[in-house]
Amino acid sequence: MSNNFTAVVIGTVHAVLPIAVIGLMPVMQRVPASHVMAARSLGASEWTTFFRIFLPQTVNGCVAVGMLAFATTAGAFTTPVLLGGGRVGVLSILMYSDATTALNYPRAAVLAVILFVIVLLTVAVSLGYARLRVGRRERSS
Amino acid sequence: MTATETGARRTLPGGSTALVGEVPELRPGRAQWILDRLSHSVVWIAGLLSVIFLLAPMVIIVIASFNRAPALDVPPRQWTLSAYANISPALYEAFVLSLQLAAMAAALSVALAVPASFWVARTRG
Repeated sequence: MSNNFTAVVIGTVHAVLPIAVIGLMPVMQRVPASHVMAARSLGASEWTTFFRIFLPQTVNGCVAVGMLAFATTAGAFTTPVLLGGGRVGVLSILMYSDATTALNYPRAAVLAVILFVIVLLTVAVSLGYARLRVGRRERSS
Repeated sequence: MTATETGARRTLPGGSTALVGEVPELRPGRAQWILDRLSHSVVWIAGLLSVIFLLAPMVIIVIASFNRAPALDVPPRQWTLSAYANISPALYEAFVLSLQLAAMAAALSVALAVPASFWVARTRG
């Protein structure tokens, strides 16, 4: 399983997963254990406690970590080159070939700018969603 | 009868006086004030340099994208938008592929990181 898109996805997840785990750990630790214990003492199962009590309190952290992973992966170069075998033409590879082989710096720069804008917009929308969610929760409480 | 009521005063090390029993207002000396201002300025300048260090490459890339000649001239001798106008369909495919890769990797890594970090946070911390 190499030289295809699936291999690149698996390799990229492997590279980003430690960052995601380290980013989510403080979020998980911040959820009070008393909430979980209260849910368990009221008869909720472990799955129900996790999905209905624990996880909703970590959604903003998940969104932030997801955006971190997205921004890191959107410009990934090494993994697509090594595991894609030249068959997975992501933007970073095109940028590299434009800058080193075709020597067309403006085109490489355009690709970088467009990728930057797309990532910036995605991150802004996601953080806006997270902020909206926090505002909604504060209004309801 | 307390010291405050009698109006007894004591002399402080800086030369100023305060009522006995009263906590004197602490005024930093001139050397301390200069040191505070200096450290504040150093921190501010270091922060500014860090921001410039982080943003300068992006600014250079954005400026380079408007260059008419296929070289890395910053600032460009001739400005143009032709590089933006000449985006081929092959590049759109690369965009879509990059975004697909990023979205899938982000979703999968969060999906795997949630149980992993939950386990680590609840068993180790």
